[in-house]
Amino acid sequence: MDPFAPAPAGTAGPNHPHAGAPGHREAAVHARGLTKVYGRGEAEVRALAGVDVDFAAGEFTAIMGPSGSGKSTLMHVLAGLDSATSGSAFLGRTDVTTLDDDALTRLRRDRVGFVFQSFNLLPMFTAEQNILLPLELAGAKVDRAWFDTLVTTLGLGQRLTHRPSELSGGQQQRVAIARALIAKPEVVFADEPTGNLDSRSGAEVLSFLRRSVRELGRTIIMVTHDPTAAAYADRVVLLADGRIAGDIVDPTPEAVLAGLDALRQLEVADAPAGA
Amino acid sequence: MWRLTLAQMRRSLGRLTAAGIAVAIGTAFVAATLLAGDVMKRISYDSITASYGTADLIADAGESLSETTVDAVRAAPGVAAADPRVVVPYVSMSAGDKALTQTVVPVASDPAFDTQVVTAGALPTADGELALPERAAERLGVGVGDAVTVSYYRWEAAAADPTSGAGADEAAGADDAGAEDAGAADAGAAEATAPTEAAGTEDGTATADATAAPGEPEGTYREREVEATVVGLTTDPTSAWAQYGGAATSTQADALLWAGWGEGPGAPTLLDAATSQLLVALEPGTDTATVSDEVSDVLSAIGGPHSNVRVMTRDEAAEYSISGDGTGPILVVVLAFAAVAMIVAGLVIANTFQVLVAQRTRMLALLRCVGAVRSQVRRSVLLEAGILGLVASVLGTLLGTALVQLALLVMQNADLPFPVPSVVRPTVASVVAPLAVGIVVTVLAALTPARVATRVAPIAALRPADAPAAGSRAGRFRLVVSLLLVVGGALMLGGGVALSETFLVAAVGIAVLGGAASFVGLLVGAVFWMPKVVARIGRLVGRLGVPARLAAANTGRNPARTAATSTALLIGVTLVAMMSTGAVTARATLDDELDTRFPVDLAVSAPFTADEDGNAVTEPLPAGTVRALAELPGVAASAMLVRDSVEVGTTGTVVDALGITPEQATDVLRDADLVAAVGDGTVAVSRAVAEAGDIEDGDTVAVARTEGGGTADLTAVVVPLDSWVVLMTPTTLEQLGSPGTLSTAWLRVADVDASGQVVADLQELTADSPLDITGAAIERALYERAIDTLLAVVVGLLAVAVVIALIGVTNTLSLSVIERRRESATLRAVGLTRRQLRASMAVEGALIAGVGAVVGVLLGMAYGWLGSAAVLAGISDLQLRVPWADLGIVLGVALVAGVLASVLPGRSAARTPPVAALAVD
Repeated sequence: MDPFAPAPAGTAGPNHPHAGAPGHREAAVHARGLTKVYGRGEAEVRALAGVDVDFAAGEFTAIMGPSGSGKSTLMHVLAGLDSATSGSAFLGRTDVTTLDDDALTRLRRDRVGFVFQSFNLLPMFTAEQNILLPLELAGAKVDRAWFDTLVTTLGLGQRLTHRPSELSGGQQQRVAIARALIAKPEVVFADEPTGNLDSRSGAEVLSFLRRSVRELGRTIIMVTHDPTAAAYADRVVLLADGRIAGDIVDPTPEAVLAGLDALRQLEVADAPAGA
Repeated sequence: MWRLTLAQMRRSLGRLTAAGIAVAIGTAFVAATLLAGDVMKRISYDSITASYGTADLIADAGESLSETTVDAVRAAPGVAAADPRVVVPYVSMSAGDKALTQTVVPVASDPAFDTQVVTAGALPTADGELALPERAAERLGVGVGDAVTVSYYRWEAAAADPTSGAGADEAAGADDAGAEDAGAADAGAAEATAPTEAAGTEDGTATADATAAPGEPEGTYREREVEATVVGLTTDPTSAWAQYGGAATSTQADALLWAGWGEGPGAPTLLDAATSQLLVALEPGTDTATVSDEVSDVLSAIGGPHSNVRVMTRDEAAEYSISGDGTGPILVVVLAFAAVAMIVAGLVIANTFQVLVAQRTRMLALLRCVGAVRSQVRRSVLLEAGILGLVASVLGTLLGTALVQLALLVMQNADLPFPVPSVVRPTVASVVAPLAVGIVVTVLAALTPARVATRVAPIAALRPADAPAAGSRAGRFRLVVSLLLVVGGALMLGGGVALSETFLVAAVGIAVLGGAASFVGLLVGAVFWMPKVVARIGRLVGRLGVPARLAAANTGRNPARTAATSTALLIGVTLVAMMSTGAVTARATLDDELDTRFPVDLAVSAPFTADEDGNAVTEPLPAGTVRALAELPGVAASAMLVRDSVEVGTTGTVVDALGITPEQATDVLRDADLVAAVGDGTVAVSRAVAEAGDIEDGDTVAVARTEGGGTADLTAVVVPLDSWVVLMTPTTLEQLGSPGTLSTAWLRVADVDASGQVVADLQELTADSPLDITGAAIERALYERAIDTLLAVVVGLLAVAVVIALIGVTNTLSLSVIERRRESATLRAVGLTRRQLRASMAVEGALIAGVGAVVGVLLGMAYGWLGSAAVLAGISDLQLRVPWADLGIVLGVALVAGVLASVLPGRSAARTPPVAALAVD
């Protein structure tokens, strides 16, 4: 398959009829035949069993699936945090599975942003220093206008001189989002960004993520197990047993729940055969 | 709790190993010090007992032994053999044109007392026979069967020649002999051999009273020469006589005769040797204690009820004869350095446990949740420390023992002039003390962390992972104690320095105490000031880039730990810097002092002798010597000077006058004022002479030759010299009627700092002549060797403390790596390269070590100067110096070591996969 060809809509195989992206957008990230195997022999675990997926630019996509479905692994491999066993994962036109550690580090620094479940701010730096960290690492100039836009959008104006220990969980995660966006990356990966937050802060963070896509034109891929969180996304990709198992466009919590229920029934049906 | 503690220790094995190494090095130091002390004692015992042969008992009769007494002891039941201990030092021997002085001992009456091995021929059996040590025979160029001329002084009655002139002549001759013997006695006394000392005294008395004392035979000592045949060559495998450069063997009669002991017409007897020591060998199978009592009874019966009889075993005798030797204080000093090493190790351990406790906060909280009481938690931590201390101390003690054993092996292969034991014999102290110190220090260091551990609230188990770990806040009490010590210590130090001009010893004591107190205060308070220093320097370093900024920020995150780590290094560095600053300051100050005390680098002068009339006569320097001196490598210039004795001024001040031309002065003198003072019509008067003769600069003083001659009025120039001389031109001396004997050579050394070698060459050149060598270079060579040796030893000892501290730096960094696993991963995830991460760790290591080193160097310099001020103030003007090279090396080593200490932790940090940032624990 030509990795540079735009992913045509509806080309997914019969097992996952909804895979693929709307055809009018160019894919920011796409994977072809991606597999990831942990361990060997008896202990072999197939975390990803041949994933073909496209994530369109300027879109907020959620990856969902039950525990062990491979959703975190998919994100790690797509982001260049983990290596693939076979297949390829593209960020734009770069196959991240072929890069060495230094190139991956540069790729993460310049082209990818991360938002973590436990915020992962550096405790010795202020909010502002944390936000600017990726630019400093790259030795890049700070785009003051962009910084101000982010700070205003995320409501961090009063908090810039505070250290993480002086911020609430929601505020810390907003700082983390600003850090992820400061270098204007091609894509931001968010791993359970609301996992450590109460529901009000969680809702706040999710709406900020959605605003960054809608108003600031960013691309966000978020892994979550929370249907409510997933409903903030433009599209939900469902994963099961290391394969794409569904695709919901413009999801509502109910639609996501229904999709997950369908997956569970599928698993229950598969279980005797798999056992 | 045991199982739990052990399980925890297994989990933290890496951390504990690092702390354990620190303890092990410290205890190895203590063990090695104690063992080395024992070895030193053993060596001195062995070198003394070696001269006893295989004697079982050493008896001291408390009075001079006579043949009768010795025979009485020989007859005592259980005694196989007994010999008086006679050592005759400095017997002059010559063969052809070669001559030497040789210590002689009488041949033993029983093989049990033989101390030497005959390698050729046999031991003497008759008078006039001699067995020489191989080395002496080689130097004399003789072998078995050859003849050697022995010269000695013999008392002779004066009745045969009653004229007074001859009497005076003999008195002068006797005087020489007495002087030589007295010199020998002095040397002998230094080696604590009773017979020589007694002999010396006797000789002195005899000489003084030679012609005066009524009721005693009148007479004098005359030099005699006798031929002796070399019948054997010997070696000294047990180094029994190594301190005398080997011993020749003769019959007892010859030995006593050659010693020149005794007076009166008869041959000298054993009584004249004035020895009280008796070597006793036992019959096989007899009880030592019984025979000891028996011998004691025999001697007491002869000596009377008040005799000071003492019968000792070999070791007792050795102990008796070296009581108060120098090893005790040395041991104390070295142990003080071991204590420094242990304190540093303690800091490292305390740090490790603090972090272990912090890491285990959740686990400890869980324990408390499921019912562990505070005391159980504390016991668990202390138990862990105890086990660690025990294991590490055992290893350290073994390591120390192995090191000393290794040193012994090396020493045995080196040809040393004393017997070296082949194996270490661990004593109770050398095993128990390091173990006890190691365990106690470890447990003490863990006390604070243990208290912190008990403060962990059960609720902490329920908090999220990133909740702040348990920590302790530095208390107000600590601040107060620290301030009191620093301020009080500084005042004492200042007071000591101020008082040192008047009460040197007391002032030095006060200064040392004050210095120690203020340093302890600074260390106790390190947690208050060290983080600020680190932050300040970190801010500067942080400008170097992102990794440096990360490093600087990281050192500020756990100020207490950073402070403790830097402090551990600070201790060693301060002491090293203090020592080397003190050394250069002392050297510069003493150099300065020497320049005022000696006019010239080296002065070689021929001695005064007396002529027939008893007048002092200056002897000329041997012509060969004069030539050789000028050609000595390292000598830049030499001047041959006329010397005479003159009276200066009207106060009867008699001084040495040296005739030096202005040209010669320019050549050999370093002091320009001194050069300017030399000229016809002037006399350069040293400060000491000026004071004694009440002479002011510019006075016109009368100078007269002491031994008859002219007088001249000269203009006095007072020069900054402390020696007892005046300088004038040879022309002036000639006018006074001086015979113009060239008896003194002044030398200027090309390189002052390399004068040690010149002095050694010069001493070798003049070894066999009675020439007198003085001068600044001699003193400089002496104290420079002393200072350099001391410095090397001290720095070597302190290096141990520095090594331990550097282990602490590694430890702290690797703990940080573990704690910051998530952060490292995050940084990697957001774009920090592996190299940047490693660089950041390297900067952090260098920062922690560098701050300790920089502060240590500054403190050390201050202490070094203040200490020198206190110690040297009484001696001369203080010349403050900075040992730039040494301090540079210290700083460099600390920085490099800090970077090296970061290598392993840096690698493990760089291995952290970025994915770890996403992990939730």
